[in-house]
Amino acid sequence: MTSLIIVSVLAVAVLYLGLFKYKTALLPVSVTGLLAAAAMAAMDWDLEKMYFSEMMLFDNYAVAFSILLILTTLLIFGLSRNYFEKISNNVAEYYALMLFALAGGVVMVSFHNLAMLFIGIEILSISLYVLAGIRRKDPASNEASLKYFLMGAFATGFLLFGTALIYGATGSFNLAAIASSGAFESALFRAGVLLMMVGLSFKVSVAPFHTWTPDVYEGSPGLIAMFMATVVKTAGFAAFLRLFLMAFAEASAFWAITVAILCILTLFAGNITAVFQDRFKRLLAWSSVSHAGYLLLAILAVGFSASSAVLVYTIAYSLASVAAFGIMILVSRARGNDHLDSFNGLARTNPFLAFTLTLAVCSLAGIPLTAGFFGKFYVFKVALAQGYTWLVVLAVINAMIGIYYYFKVIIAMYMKENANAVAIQLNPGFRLVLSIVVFLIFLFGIFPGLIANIL
Amino acid sequence: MSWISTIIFLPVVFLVIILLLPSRFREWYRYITLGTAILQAGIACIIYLRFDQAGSDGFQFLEKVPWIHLSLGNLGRLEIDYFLGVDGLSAPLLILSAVVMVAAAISSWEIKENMKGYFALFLLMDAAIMGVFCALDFFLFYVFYELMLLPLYFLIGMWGGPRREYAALKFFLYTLFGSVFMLLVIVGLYFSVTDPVSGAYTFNMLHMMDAANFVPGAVFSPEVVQTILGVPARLLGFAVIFIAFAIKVPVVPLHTWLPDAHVEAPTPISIILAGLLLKIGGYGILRICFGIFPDSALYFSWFIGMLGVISILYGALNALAMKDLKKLIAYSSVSHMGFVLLGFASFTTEGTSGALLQMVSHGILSTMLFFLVGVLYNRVHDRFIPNFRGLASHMPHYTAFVMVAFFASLGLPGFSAFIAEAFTLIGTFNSQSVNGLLPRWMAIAGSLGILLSAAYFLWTLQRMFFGTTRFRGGEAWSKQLIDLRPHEWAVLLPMALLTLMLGIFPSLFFDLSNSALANMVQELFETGKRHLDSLQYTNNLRF
Amino acid sequence: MTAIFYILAGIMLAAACYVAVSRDIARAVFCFFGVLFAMAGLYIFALADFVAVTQILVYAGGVVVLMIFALMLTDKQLLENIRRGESSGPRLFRARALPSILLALAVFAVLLQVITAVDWGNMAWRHEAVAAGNRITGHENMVENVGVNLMTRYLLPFEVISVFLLAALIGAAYLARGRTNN
Repeated sequence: MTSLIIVSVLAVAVLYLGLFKYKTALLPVSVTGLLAAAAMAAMDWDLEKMYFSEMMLFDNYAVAFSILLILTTLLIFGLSRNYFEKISNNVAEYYALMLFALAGGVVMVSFHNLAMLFIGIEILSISLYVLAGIRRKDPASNEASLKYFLMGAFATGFLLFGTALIYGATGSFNLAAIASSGAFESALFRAGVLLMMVGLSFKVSVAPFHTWTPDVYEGSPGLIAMFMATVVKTAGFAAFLRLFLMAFAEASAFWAITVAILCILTLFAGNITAVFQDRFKRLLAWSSVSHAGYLLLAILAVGFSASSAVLVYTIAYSLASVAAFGIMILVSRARGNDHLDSFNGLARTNPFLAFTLTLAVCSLAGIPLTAGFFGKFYVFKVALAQGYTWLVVLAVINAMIGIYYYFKVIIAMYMKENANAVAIQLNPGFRLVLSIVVFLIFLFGIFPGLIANIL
Repeated sequence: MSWISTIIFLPVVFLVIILLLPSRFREWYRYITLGTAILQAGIACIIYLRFDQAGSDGFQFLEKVPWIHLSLGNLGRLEIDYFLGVDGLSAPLLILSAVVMVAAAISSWEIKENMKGYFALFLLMDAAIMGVFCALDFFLFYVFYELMLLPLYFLIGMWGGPRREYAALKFFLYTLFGSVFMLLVIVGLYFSVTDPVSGAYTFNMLHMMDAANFVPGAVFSPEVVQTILGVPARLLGFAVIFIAFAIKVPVVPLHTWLPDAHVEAPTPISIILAGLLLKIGGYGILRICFGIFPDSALYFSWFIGMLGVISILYGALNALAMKDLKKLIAYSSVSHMGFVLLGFASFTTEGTSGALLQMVSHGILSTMLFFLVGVLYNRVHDRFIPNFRGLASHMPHYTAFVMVAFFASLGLPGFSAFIAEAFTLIGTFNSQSVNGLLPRWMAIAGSLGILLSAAYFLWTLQRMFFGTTRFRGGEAWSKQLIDLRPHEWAVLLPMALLTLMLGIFPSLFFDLSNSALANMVQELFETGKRHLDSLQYTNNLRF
Repeated sequence: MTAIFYILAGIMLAAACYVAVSRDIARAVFCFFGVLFAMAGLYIFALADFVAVTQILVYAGGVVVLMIFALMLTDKQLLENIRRGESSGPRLFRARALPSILLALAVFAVLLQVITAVDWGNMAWRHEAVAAGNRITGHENMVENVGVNLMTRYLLPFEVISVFLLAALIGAAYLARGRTNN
C-alpha cells in the first residue's frame, strides 16, 4: 500500500518538476522514488495486510508482483535517458504517465475486490492510450493510440458487464465472498466468468482478442512497446491469475476448457504469424502474443505453484523483453529501421549488443541455462502435473516454431555481413541496464531456485 | 572438486580467461585451448588408471551437490541435484572425448578469423560434452545436452562452408525437435519416480533405472499399463527418447542433417560431430532408453535392430555413390553407427560390448578420417574425388595414414573396428538362440555392410591415390599439396597407434567396460522381460 | 408501470439500433442522447434514482454535449470523405463486418441463455439480504446511502479514481496541446 502511495505521489512530483523545468532531476527523482517504492513493498512481505474494508490485500503474491513491476519500470527508465527528449519537449508527462500506469499495475496485482481490479486496469490503460500516441506527428503512433483505445474500451465493456453479472450471482465484489458464495453452478456466474475472461484476454492479448497487438506495438515508440510487453503484460497476467485463483478456483472445471482452447489458439496464432515477420518489432509483438499462450498454460494449473510459475515466467520474459526491445531501439535508431536485415553484421560491429540480444532471444525461446528455459520448464511441469499432456505437447511444438523465428535474428547478426555497418554508440544507461539484464538472465538460468522459491 | 568436475569445468575456467584476454593476444587462444585439451586428456588418463576395473558394476567418482530445490506446495518438492559419476559404460566415452578434443584443438589451427569467439565456443562445447557423459541427474543431463547444441550451432553457422546457415539451422532444429519432447518425458518420469530414502520425486537417473522406485499408478509405472493418448505410456516414453537420440546417432530416416552439417562444418567441428556427438546418441540410447525402459527396449528390439541394419546398408550404399570425400565419410559414419544400434538391440553381452567398442573405435577413426579430409581441403580447397589422382606418389606419408584409416574402418583384423564389428555381429548372431530377439539374417545383413564399406573405401583409394599423378588444379595444386606437417603428424600418429592398440589389445577397453556391461545387460534383460510379461501389451511389435 | 418500462426499453433499443447502423454522425449522436435518457428512466425503475440523475447530468448533459461540440468543430470535408468512403458497396452485410456480427450474436446468445436459465427470484444472497432486512423499498434517501458508502466502504476506490482522473487529465492535455508548442 505504501508503495502504491509512493508511486502515485511520485508521478505528481515528477509533474511538478516538469512544470518548474527541472528536467535533469526527472530521472534521478523517479529512480529514487521507485527504489523507495520497491523497498516499501518488500517491507510488507509475509504481513498479509488487508486495506480499507478488504479492498486490497498485500499478500506475498501482491508484494512479489509489485516489486517485479516496479523493478521492470526501473530498468525501462534506465534506458529512457535521451530517448523521450527526441520525441517531445514535455518529458515530465512521459515519466508521469508511466508512473501512473505503474500505479495501475500495482493495484491490479493486489486487488481484493472487483471494483479495484476495474480501476487498476483503467488507470493502466488510460495512461497507455496516451503513451501509445505520444508521437503526435507520427500517423502510425496516432493509429496505435486510437486502435488501442477502441479495443481497450471494448474490452472494458466486457469486463464491466462480467463484473456486474458476477455481482448479480454472488451479491459481492469481494474475492473471498465470491469464492465462498457457492453460486458456481448458476448461469449468471458462468456468463460473468466468461465475459471477464474475454475482457482480460483483450488486455493481455490472448487470441482471438489479440489482433490489436502487432499494430499497437509497431506504432508505439519502442520504449512504450517495451513497457507494454513487460509491465502491462505482467500486471495483466498477475491480475488474471489472481482473479481466477482467489475467486473462481472452485469453478475451474467450467472455465478450464475455455482457457485451454484460448491457450492453443494463442500459441498457434502467435507463433505461426511470427514466423512470417521480417520486422523485428512486429516479430516481438507476435512473440509476446505467443508468450501469453504459455502463461495461460500456468493459469490452467490453478493451485499454489501456478502463481510461482507465472512469477518465474514473467520475470524471465520481462528481462528478455527489456533486452530485446532495447537493442531493437538502438538498431532501428542507428540504421533507420527495425527490419531483420538491419541486424546484419551486428556481431562484428557491436559484439556486446549481439551477445545480449542472442541471450535475450535464447531466453525467450527457452534454451537451457537462461531464465526463460526454467520458466517454460516450470510452466510445462505444472501443467503436466494437472494432466494437460496434450496441451503441453502442443505447447512444445510451438516452442520449436518459436526457436525457428527467434534464430532468424541470430542468423542475421552472426552469419550475415553488412559491409557498411558502423558500430552503434551506447550511452551508459543502456550499457548498465543491458549488463544487469545479461547478469540476471544467467543468474536465474543457472540458479532458478532464487526466483522460484519466492512464492 | 573431484576429477570429474575438474574435467568438466576446466574448459569453462579457460573460457573465461580467453574472454578476458584482449585480442592482441589472439595467438595465445589456440595454445590455451590446446593446453586445456591436453590437461583434460591427462585427467582422463588418471580416471582410466584409478577406475576400479574389477570392482562392482556401480558408478565411481560420484559427486552429488544439491542444485535447484523448490517447494511446489501440493505438488511436493522439486529436487535437482548436481550429480555426476562414471561407470564402465561412460568412462570409455569420457576418455575418448578427451582424446578427440586434443585432436580437434590441434586441427583448429586452420581457424583464422574471429578467434576469440571460436575458441570460447569451442571450450564451452567441450565442457558440455564432458558433462553429458558424466551427468547422472536427468535434468542435469538435459542441460548439458542442450548446452552443447548452441555452441555447435554457432561453430557450424559462423565458421562453416558456403551453405552454413542452412546446415546449422537444420542441425539445430533436428536435434532440438527430439530433445524438447524428451523434456516432457523427463517431467513425466520425474512424477513417476521417488527417492527411496527421502520419498521426494527425483530426477536421479539411478533411481529411475530401478523399477522399485516407481510410484504405483504413476504415468510411467512398470506395474500397470497407463496410456497417453491411447498409447501405452512406457512405450511412448521410450519412443520419444529413442527418437531424440536416434536423431543424434543418426538412424536412417532421421539422418538427413548429418551430411549437410558435416560438409559445411569446419574440420575440427566435423571431427567433434562425428567423433563425439554421434556417440552421445548411442550413449543416450543405452544409458537412458534401455536403462529406464528395459521392457519397451525388449518390445521394440526387433525394430531397433532393423533400423540398425537399414542404417548400415543405406549409409554404405550412399557412401558408394558420393563424389565429395567428406560426404562419403559422413555416410560411412551413418553406416558404422548402425552397428552400434544392432549390437544394443541384441541384448547380449558380446553385442553390447562390441557396440560400445565400435563407438570408441569409430570416434578415433572418424577423427582421423575427417582430419585427413581437412588436410586435403586446407591445401587446395577442394575435396572432390574425381579431381585427384595418384596422390600416393605425391604425398606418401599422407597416403599411408589414409590407408591406415581406411583399412581400419573397413574392419581389417588388427584394428579396433574389426574387434568391434565382429563382437557386434557375434552378439546379433547369438541373439536368436540366447534370447530370441533378433533373427540371424540381421547379422548376415550386417556383414554385408562390412563388405560394402570395403567396396567404397577401396574404390576411393584406387580412384584418388593410385595411378598416375594428375590433379584438376594442375601445377598449382602440385605445389600446394605438400606432405604432412608436424602438427598433422601429432594428430594422426597417436590416433593410428590408438586404433592399432585397441585392435591388438582389446582388453585395454574390455577390462574397463566388461564387468559393468555384463551385469547391466543381464539385469536389463531380466527386469525388462519381467515387466513385459506383467504389462502384456496387446500386440507385440515383431513382424 | 410495466407498460412504461417497456416503452422506455423500446425507445432505448430502437435508438441504439439506429446509432449502430446510421451513417450520419450527427443523427447518431442525437439518437445516442435518446438512448442515454431512456436508460436513466430504467435506472429509476431499479430504484437507483441517484444513478439516474448522474446519468442525465454526466452522460446526457456532459458527454453528448461534448460530442456535439466535437462534431461542430470537425472539418466538414473530412466527415464527408468518411461518409463517401463508407457508402461504397452494399450496406448491411459486408464481409469485414462478419466477425463483429458473429461476436455480437455470440454475446447475445450468452445473455439469452443467462436470462432463460437463471432463477432470478431464488438467489441465495437475495434471500439472505431480505432476511437481514437489507433491502431497498424506495423510501430511503439513496444519495445519503451512496455518499456514506463511498466515504466508508468504497473509500479506497474513490481515492484511487482520483489518480485515474489525473492520468486522464494529463494525457488529454498532452494530446490536445497546440502543435506550435512542439
